[in-house]
Amino acid sequence: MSSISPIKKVLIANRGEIAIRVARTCKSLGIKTVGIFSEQDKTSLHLDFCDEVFSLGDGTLTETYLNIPKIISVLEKSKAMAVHPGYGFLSERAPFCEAVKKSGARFIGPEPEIMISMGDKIEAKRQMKKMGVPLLPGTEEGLKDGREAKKLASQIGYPVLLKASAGGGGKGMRIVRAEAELEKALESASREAKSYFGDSTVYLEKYLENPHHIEVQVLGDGFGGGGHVFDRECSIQRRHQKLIEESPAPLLVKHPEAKSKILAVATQVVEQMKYKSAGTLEFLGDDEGGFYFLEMNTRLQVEHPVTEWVTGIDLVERQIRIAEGLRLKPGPICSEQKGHAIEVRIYAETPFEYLPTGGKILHTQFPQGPFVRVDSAIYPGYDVPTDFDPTLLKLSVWGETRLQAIERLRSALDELRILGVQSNQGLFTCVAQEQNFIDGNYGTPYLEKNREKILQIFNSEMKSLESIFVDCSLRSLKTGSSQNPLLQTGEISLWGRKSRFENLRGDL
Amino acid sequence: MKYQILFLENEKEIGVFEENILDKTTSEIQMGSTYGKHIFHEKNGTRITHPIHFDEKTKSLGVATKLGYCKIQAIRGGKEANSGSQGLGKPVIKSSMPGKILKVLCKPGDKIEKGQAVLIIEAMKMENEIKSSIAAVVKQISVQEGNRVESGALLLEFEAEKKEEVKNG
Repeated sequence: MSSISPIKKVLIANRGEIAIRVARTCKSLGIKTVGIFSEQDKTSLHLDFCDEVFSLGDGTLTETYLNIPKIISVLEKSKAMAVHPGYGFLSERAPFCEAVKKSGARFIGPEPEIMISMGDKIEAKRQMKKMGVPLLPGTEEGLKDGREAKKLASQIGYPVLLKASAGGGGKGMRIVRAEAELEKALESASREAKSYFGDSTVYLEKYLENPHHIEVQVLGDGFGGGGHVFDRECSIQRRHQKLIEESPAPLLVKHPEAKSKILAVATQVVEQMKYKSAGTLEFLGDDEGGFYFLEMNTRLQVEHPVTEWVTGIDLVERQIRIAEGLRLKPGPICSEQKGHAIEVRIYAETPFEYLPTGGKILHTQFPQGPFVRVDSAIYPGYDVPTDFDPTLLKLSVWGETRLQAIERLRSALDELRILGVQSNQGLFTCVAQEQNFIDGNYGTPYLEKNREKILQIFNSEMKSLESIFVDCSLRSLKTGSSQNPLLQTGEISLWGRKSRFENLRGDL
Repeated sequence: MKYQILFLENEKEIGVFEENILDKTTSEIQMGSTYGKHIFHEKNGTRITHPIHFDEKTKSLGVATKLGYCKIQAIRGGKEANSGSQGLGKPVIKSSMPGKILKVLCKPGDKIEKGQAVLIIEAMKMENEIKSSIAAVVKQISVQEGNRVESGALLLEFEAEKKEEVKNG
């Protein structure tokens, strides 16, 4: 049995909200933190939350946040005992993990071998298949001809999807709903694949009409201990990026058998792989309760707060403890998934076309109160940079029931004010009122399918804003311009936070 | 003067917004150093607060709402389409918004009535008629259809003219 070897100082190899998130847990555990930043990013708020900060100099992402030698030299200079990579950046790069270990520090995450095998999609699927994890039915090699395609398609069952092996972006893709269409579709898909990618190889797989993005959080100790930390659903997406995440997954609430099966599978994977630290198994789910392995993320996820809400577990704390040598009992981490949590990602982008915005944050008013959590790194005066991901804040809420969580989400969105930068806040304000969402009746095509309904809600919300503003201006006309009660000067005390930040900026 | 609420993708003309709200905000914001300005709306015992600021560049009022950040902007060009102060230079029309010149509705030498549209500018996917606030003869048009213009760009010059040349009757 290995014994516990406490970590006293952690280098956080990330920026923004996730660096703050990790720093908070470290602080509560009495662990010192080391922050890093690029010169262009020295106004990032995470630096206020770290005990020591080191510059990575000027330059592109590759020269700074992705620069392994530079980060290792900060690690050595700062004498940090471990590295937390957050998500994104170097979090799933095995060479970084190896470099950290080589310098004598611990990496708060899985072993590099697992990162490599799970980072390779084909290898990951091969390993999962071996462990009995269901994969989306389909061919592993290119189709030879129409006859072979017909045979396979009838085994899998229609509809099926033809997919260019070198493909992407929907090119060389065909949905086939009946055998009669198959041969023609195969021909045109091959032709398209040939002309776009120079490779006419086409695969075939089961097509899901209304796919769901389902995932299972896991925690392992690296010795086979640990297991699942329940499920999440992240079906509401745009451009394959998640916008809304929930735990428990509404789809699995409708299919309790599928739920116990998917959780058991995840626990089994942790045990068999001897998985270490936090990870996530991602699946596609269908309306019938079927689920198929998609990929495994070997890191903390953006949407981990919803799991923390329903389990009461601080996942970062658990990651650190595991890195210190904590052993877990084999099996599920906790027995109960309590209540319901929802997270929305407020991005610096327009609500319906997803066009990037940006600019200077002039004022913020974050929702507060019971069962509301905000993870954010923005503050008044902050210029939203264009070279990082567009997250302004993650808003998550908890309720005893899903409906209560939705109600709390609505009221939290109602409180949220971000002045200066347009965001997709309005989308969530409207989705939270849309009936299919309220009923938990959605898959990944949700936003496209319900666009008109959501826009209608947006328009009626805008009407009520109009009436407020018109009313304001009419009243200001009546009271005259010199003593306008509608425009009041903010109390300085309200802005204490802002000036504090500005003073801090000045010191940097 | 009419104003519209502009969400980047969802813009709309909204009824009667009187000018005070913008002018008052402008002066207060310019004097103060913070953005500590809010529109308070009180009705039926409830109060809704919307943080605001005045955007000097687009001459619009930015408002933080539950639908996100939007702008309240003058439409119909009105305020900027004034003639220059009398005796000081030539009367001109400047653009009140950044956008694209969609149509030029007059040519040099044309006699324009007060309130007549002279240009159409597309901004935030909306067509905005730029109207003259005076009756005058067009001297020169500084833009062409398809041009992009910034807020405050010179659009058109009138002939310096005697005051009240044409009064009805």
